[in-house]
Amino acid sequence: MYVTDEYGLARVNAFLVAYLPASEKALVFRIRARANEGYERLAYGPLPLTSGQTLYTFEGGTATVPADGVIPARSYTSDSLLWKPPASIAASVYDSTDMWYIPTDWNERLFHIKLTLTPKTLRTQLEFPKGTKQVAFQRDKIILSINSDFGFKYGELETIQFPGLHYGWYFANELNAPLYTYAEFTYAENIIEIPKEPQLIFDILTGKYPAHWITLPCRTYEDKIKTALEKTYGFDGYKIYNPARKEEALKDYAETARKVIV
Amino acid sequence: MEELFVLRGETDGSATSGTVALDSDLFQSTVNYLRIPKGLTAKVWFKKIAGEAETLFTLQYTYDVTAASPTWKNIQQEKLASKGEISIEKRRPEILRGFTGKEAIRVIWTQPTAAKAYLELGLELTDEKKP
Repeated sequence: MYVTDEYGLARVNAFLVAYLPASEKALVFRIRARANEGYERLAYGPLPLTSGQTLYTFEGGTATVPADGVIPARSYTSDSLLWKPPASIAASVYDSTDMWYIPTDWNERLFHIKLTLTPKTLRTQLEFPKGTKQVAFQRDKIILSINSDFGFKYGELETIQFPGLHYGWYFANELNAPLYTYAEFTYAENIIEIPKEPQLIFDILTGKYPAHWITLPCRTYEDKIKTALEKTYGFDGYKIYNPARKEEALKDYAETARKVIV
Repeated sequence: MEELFVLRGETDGSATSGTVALDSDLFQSTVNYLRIPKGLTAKVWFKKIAGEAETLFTLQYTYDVTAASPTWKNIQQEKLASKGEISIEKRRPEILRGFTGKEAIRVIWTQPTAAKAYLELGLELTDEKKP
């Protein structure tokens, strides 16, 4: 059974699992429908960099964005960015600073987002939520930034956007040429429900039942995340259990499922 | 990850030797060399040369472009024997690796008589380790 389609997005009636390592819990969603079926491509355009904006350089200095959407040579964003809505929709979207943000009471909606950058040599890294660096090495010994030797992705990134949270996006250009940039999203605006049957949840979370898993970069479990999840879904995820502790897991899932409001 | 950069450059028509300023639809301004990020590989898939007179284009590579005087070594040479054009496509590309992130490539030209000549280079940057 294929759980993703030709875009790599979870199919209708498939299960999508969002795993948060810091809490060792996972949100399980069943895709009831895809609101934008057939219209998954979103040609965003240049990165949301503004002419005159100051970026840091790999050499330890600063660089100025020479024109909107152009990333200077050997530079990276000093602060994480939000996806400013394209002008055509800016006046009508829920949050005019972040096109992917939706409030917690839109809890039947879940964005599954795949970003592709041009050129693919651009680095990207996610802050979840914005303001919290989530990529680390050796527990929290070393926090990895976009200019670190590792802990970033080249040219693409897949995530799930939870309601009530802003995600921050970093970008970097290692090349010694200032680059024109382009971002494209392939996304699904899913209409979802959260399964409440303990046996099904157990089978999904132990890998017996197929599902599309996305692990959020989450080394530290910020209160903001917990609060947003509880406000949105009534709980902050099902615990991941050792398959040998099935009875305990089923009991816990039955109890936890009673809190679910979606 | 892979990205194909089509790099373009030309001689200035007045000097008999020099370094080609590399341009691309992705570049906001030209560069005299292009660094290869650490862990990535540069693959040269094709070269197209056109010119008004005999021209030798040499692809060069350095291990440390940040050095005060980088040492460049010749990797490939393509000579236009007289006015005309040549197009070279590779089934197996020239491979140039980024070991530390300080590596870079550049193209230089030499001519017996100064004239305009043009170069197009198909350069892929990839993290794929297979040749």
